[in-house]
Amino acid sequence: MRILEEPIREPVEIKNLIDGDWKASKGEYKDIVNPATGKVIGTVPISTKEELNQAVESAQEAFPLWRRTPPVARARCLFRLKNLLEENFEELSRIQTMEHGKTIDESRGETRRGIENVEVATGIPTLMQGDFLEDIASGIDEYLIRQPLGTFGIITPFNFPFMIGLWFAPYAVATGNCVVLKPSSEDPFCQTKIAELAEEAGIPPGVWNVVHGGRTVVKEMLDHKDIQGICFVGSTPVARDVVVKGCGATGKRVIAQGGAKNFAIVMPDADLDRTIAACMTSFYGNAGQRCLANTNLVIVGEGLSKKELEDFYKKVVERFVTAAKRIQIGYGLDESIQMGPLRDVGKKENVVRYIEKGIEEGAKLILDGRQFDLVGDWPRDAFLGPTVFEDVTLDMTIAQEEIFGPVANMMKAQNLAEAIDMVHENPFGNAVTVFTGNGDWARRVRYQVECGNIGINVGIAAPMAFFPFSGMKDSFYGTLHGQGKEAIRFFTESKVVIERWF
Amino acid sequence: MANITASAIISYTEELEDKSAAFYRDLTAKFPQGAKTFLSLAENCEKIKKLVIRTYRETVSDALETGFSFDNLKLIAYDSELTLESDDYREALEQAIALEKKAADFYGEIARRSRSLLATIAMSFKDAEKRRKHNQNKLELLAG
Repeated sequence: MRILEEPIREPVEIKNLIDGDWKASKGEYKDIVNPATGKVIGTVPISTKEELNQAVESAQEAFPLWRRTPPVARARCLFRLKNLLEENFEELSRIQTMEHGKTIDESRGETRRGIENVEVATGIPTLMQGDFLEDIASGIDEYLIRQPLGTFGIITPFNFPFMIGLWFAPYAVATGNCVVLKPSSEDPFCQTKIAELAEEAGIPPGVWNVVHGGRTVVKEMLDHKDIQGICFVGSTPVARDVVVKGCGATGKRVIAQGGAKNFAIVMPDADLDRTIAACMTSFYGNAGQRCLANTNLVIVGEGLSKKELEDFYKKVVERFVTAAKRIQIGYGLDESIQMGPLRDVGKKENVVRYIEKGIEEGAKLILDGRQFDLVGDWPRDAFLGPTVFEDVTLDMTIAQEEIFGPVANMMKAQNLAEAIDMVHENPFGNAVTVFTGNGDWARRVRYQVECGNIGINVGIAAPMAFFPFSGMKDSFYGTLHGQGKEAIRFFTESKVVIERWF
Repeated sequence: MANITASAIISYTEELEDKSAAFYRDLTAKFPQGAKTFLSLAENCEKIKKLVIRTYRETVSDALETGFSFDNLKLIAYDSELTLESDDYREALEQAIALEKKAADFYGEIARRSRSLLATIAMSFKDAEKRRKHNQNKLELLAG
């Protein structure tokens, strides 16, 4: 099978975009490594506090003029950005594979999901409209207008280097705000490229800034008095800190999406061919590094005897393991590959520690991802194969904590009520999927489960751009979510006017 | 047998339609009696390529089963001879009809396999199958 051409041929020194100017940082630089090939593809700065302050200052300066720019003109900038993203679709997708490791299909999927947010934000002349009611009392009218707030900070994670910045930035900019975006320093190419295209699309200097870096930049963003709100996606402990220690203390608006531990529920009437295909994507897609990945598979014996449940369980597990064993592992630019590497060696080691913990706590390892065949002559450092555990119980660490790797836990429940209880025992509330042909069972899951995103015969319950990316419990802190109409509300202040003319 | 990813299917489609279009342009030059039809078939192949690639790119999502929709598909079964084997008009028509049949079978099969997994992408495969069947009908009319 052919390997697609790499768009990054020489190592690139990544720069910050501050006030429309691409500037080298005064901070230290660190290498960006392609996790599949082990080659250095660029360097990224760990920017200084002063650089973040300059970016915020430029955003503050740009804000008064940008908010006065008519929504239809702002929308046209976004239309141009959307066209530029389409023109660069393939390059952007291959960059994701190079900097993150995901397969080319997954990267293209991520590119599409990102672009869809720009498309939705182009509807701002309609989306931003307020409300008006005549005669709230005789001769008195009342209306609501939505106004931008100023500058927002956006902090994005490594697992979706292209898409997640676009859950927020297009809506912020469309509503008349300015942004300072800090991409993950592990894979910062895509957000840098998007900012280049935003500039080309005519978004004025200072409106869309990018400052690369680490904790210093994040801390300064959280503390900065001129940043009105923060959008963060990452782990739960950091999300909690962003809300409690950061935004809570400074009174900022916040969207903070944390981790997950998602369950897939397989009912006895599930279409197993399609369920297994969906599970492979859900459990092992993106090498398990996504907050919507399923990790606990509960096989349910609703209406079955204990013996029948045992038989059904065996059948599902056997099908699951057979499919998982066949997954081709290698460099994502090779079109035959179904699973790429983890983002880096450290992340792989972390997953390996969870596998060891699972064995130690008594789970039965029936497919060991530490042993795998690699397609192509690549260093094995960051690669890991699919892992499957059986006899997993809810008290085990691997069943409770977010592993963020290609590990599946097989469990069983005698009925649906028990399966839902299992979901609820977990502190996270990001996603649950049910595989069934029975509308009543599906409805019970949709109605009862305390999770933000529900999949019915859909392995990855990823909301489209015109719906909020939801989340509950320890998976989400805040009130309004990213994407769609909720993002419009997040990035605007609702001002109410009561009007009477004498 | 290796699994086939959606990306590999799209690359295969791209190559199939490029080569088919070139094949029909070759026939257009060699056989004036069928030139109009052959040219329209070449254009049809270019349309199919555009349709399938555009639909894939507009629909693909990390949530779709792109890596797991085409297990055990034998792509080699759909390979056709795409260089003109004969200077005889009737033999050339037969070769073209065989090509269309295989291409329609290919699109029919991948549409069937991906029907409930790849959303609108599967619909574009179905459209491509229909267009290839139309091509076959036109060639059969020429063959009499």
